[in-house]
Amino acid sequence: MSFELPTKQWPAQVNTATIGATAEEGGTRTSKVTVGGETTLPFLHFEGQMPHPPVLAMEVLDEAPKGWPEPLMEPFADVLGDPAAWAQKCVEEYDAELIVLRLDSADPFGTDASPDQCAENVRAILEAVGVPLIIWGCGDYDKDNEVIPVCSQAAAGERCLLASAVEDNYKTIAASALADDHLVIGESPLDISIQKQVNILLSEMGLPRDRIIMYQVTGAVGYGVEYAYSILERTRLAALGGDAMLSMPMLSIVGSEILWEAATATVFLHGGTDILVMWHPEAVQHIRALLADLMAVS
Amino acid sequence: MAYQVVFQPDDISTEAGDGELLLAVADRAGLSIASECGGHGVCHLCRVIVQQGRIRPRDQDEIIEITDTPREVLACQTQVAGDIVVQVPVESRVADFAEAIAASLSPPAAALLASPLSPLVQTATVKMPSPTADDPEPDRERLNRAILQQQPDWSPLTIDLPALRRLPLTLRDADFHASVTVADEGHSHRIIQTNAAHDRPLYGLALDIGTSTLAAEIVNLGSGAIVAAAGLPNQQFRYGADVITRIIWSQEHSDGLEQLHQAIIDTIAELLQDLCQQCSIEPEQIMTACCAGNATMISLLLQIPPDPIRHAPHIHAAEHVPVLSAHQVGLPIHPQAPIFCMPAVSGYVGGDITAGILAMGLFATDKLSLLVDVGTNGEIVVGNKDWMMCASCSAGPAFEGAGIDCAVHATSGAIQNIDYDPEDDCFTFVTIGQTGPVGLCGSGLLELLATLWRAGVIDRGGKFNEELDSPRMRERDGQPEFVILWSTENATGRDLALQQADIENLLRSKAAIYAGITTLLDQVQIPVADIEQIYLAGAFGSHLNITDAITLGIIPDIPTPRVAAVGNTSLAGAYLALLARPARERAANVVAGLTYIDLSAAPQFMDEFIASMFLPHTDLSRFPSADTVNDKTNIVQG
Repeated sequence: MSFELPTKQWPAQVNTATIGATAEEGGTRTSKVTVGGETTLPFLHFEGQMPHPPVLAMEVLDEAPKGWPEPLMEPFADVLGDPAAWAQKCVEEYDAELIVLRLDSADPFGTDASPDQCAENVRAILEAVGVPLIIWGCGDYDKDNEVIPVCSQAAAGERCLLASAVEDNYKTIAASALADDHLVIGESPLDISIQKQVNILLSEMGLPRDRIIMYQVTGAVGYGVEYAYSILERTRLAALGGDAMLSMPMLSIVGSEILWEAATATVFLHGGTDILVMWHPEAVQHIRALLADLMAVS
Repeated sequence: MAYQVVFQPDDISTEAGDGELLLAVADRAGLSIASECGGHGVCHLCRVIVQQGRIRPRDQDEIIEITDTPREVLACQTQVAGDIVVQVPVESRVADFAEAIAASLSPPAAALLASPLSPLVQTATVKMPSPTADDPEPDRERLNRAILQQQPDWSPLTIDLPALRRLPLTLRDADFHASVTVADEGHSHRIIQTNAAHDRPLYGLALDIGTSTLAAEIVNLGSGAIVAAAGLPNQQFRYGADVITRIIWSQEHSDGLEQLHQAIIDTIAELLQDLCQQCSIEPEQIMTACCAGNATMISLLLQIPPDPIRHAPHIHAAEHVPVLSAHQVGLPIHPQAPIFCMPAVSGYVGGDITAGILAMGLFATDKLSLLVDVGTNGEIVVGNKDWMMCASCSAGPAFEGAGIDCAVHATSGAIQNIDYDPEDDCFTFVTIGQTGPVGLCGSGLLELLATLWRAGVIDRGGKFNEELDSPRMRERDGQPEFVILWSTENATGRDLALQQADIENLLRSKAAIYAGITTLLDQVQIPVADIEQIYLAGAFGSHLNITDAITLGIIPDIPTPRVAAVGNTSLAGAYLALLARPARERAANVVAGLTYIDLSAAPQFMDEFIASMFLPHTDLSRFPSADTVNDKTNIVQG
């Protein structure tokens, strides 16, 4: 008697979202990225589809990082402080499918760069690379509310991903995304209910569901990765179970966790993440190879 | 200074002191005037017509002289300021006051009051022959014989030392015609007071000791009439806002327990001052009391160390506290007055809930009922006459107004209903006693949240829409706030505003209550739709807009006719137990059949809590009726 693998039919699937607009869509990107669309849990190819494999994004800071460990800085030593060159290196040498531009310089307790200075860097990167861009604020609500609209305008029509909208601060960023045709990252502190609340609030601003990506602040191996994994998995189970307000693709940041980057990324992939934001080229290489294996339908 | 008050059409004349409330004067004169709100000027049942004389609106200096044009007033809000003639309209009269009260209680609770009333103290007036050389029986035996002749059930009959000390002189001064007050101790009776013969009524105190608020009524033990009612914040507040902080205080300070005990006693003393003034009696005339409160409050009242309540498995000192004397407890009423404490099933579901179950008649109903008592601790009971389960959750004192700038206690001038019109940018509201507004009470705060959300002033997460085009939306101390009443529109002389932090406190409270309800229902595996009746008791009073409570997601979305806002059921239950032995016996019975579930052992409570920190809930499909509030909510189906 032959063994038949039991399979489960889920009532719903993950939304798809497309980041980046090529000339066809009125933008200037040379590539775009579509994520989501899963009809089952990660890599269960025998059971359902994963039409869009997870993608690897790499981080670029708009100013040279201070006090970072040498091994982490080393691969980018020649481009630190030049975001456009840094982005170019990520795309050309390490095949990054997306670039995350972190506007660290806007931090009012740091360099306190003006919105226009930040927008200048956005333009420079859009010029330097053809991949879609994720624009990430400095995390200070008031400052982000000044900076994000200006950067959003500078990238109008490029279908960037703006980050991040949180429960206490989502209106300005959602309004910018609506005005300039971008997507938004909804962020929550590792809590499935708060994540859903952020998604509902964004939706009530009129932002369509296919323009929301979820980011649930994550911890690395040794820093609570087990809990992060369980939140990703619970969220994905809710999406497949038909919860429309939790059915957006997910993003995880691994690079800035520094430790055990490849190991952490592996865990998150199995939790169902769709976009991995990474740092070290070697870790990127490992994960790319792993993804190729995981996506190969035997 | 005594005035003459004449009640028409009965032509009953009685003396009244300056400042005495008309309702209390009428009660003393044996006239029953309807009143269901405990004299708060809310129910408007005690309308009377002053035909002539001098009156004073309650707690005001202005004296009104009525000569030609009769004036309609509320008897509970009008003080005597001269000789008066009062017409009592037919609709304001009730043949039996207890019957009127009973009408506002659930039928099973009213049945507990079936006459004759059986409070813990009773009175008898006896006439004895004076002793002679041929009849040398000592005073106590002489009195006993006379009493037992009249009340054979009172045997064996003992006497307190203070009463015995006064007995010889009292009997001789009264010419051996005496009235005695006797405490019913079940197996025996005890004389606690002897006086010269009189026909004055006995009074009792019904007391609800809440973590944040104390509420009390003075009750005429003969008629059941509530002759005075008042509420005050618990003075223990300075030692912490919730029971846990206070328990820690009691443990960590050498005189902490004594301080916390004294704070309750001081609050009760202050309450008594107000109450006794309302009905013109002395605290020593209060001959019994019934206390309902959570286990920690009762422990602190009795100076029992409450610490074990705080630690698992959360054991309280006594389910049944024996009947005590006022002087043992430290209550400033008649020292020998017997004190009954409502039995408490657990450290976190106390006598206040037993009282609520009594008042709402859960013990006798077939309907699957949910009793939700919203206080600093939220308690939830589910069940019917066959079974009952209960749980508690820490709701915080927000709905009782603590820590919220624009909130006040539910007394005269408190806004209890409110609505905001975004078109005209104006509020319409109703205050208790229809006087000038001084702030919002629990139901007002709840309705305020609902109306601000409907108007788009706050979002589902409770955050203000700071871009709103209204002068009311402003910032203070770096925090957004929304002005409810400008300084010119209220009696406090300052702008009354709702701040962002206030909303967060209110949301936390509502989330804890809803999470408590759903977690308990989940533990007993009962779907929300099966609930046939919800009683919403406590901080919201009885004038709450039920639709708003559902809109905000405090209680599950069930058809509104199945939901009732029932006010202070703890006090209502204390009232019943004060007056009726069947109620006290039933309380013991209720506690014996009530099962406590510890929600802290249920991990889903925290998940439910976070999911409930949203309007009405993160899972919008649980609140289909709230969909109409915001037409964008259909996104969840999309």
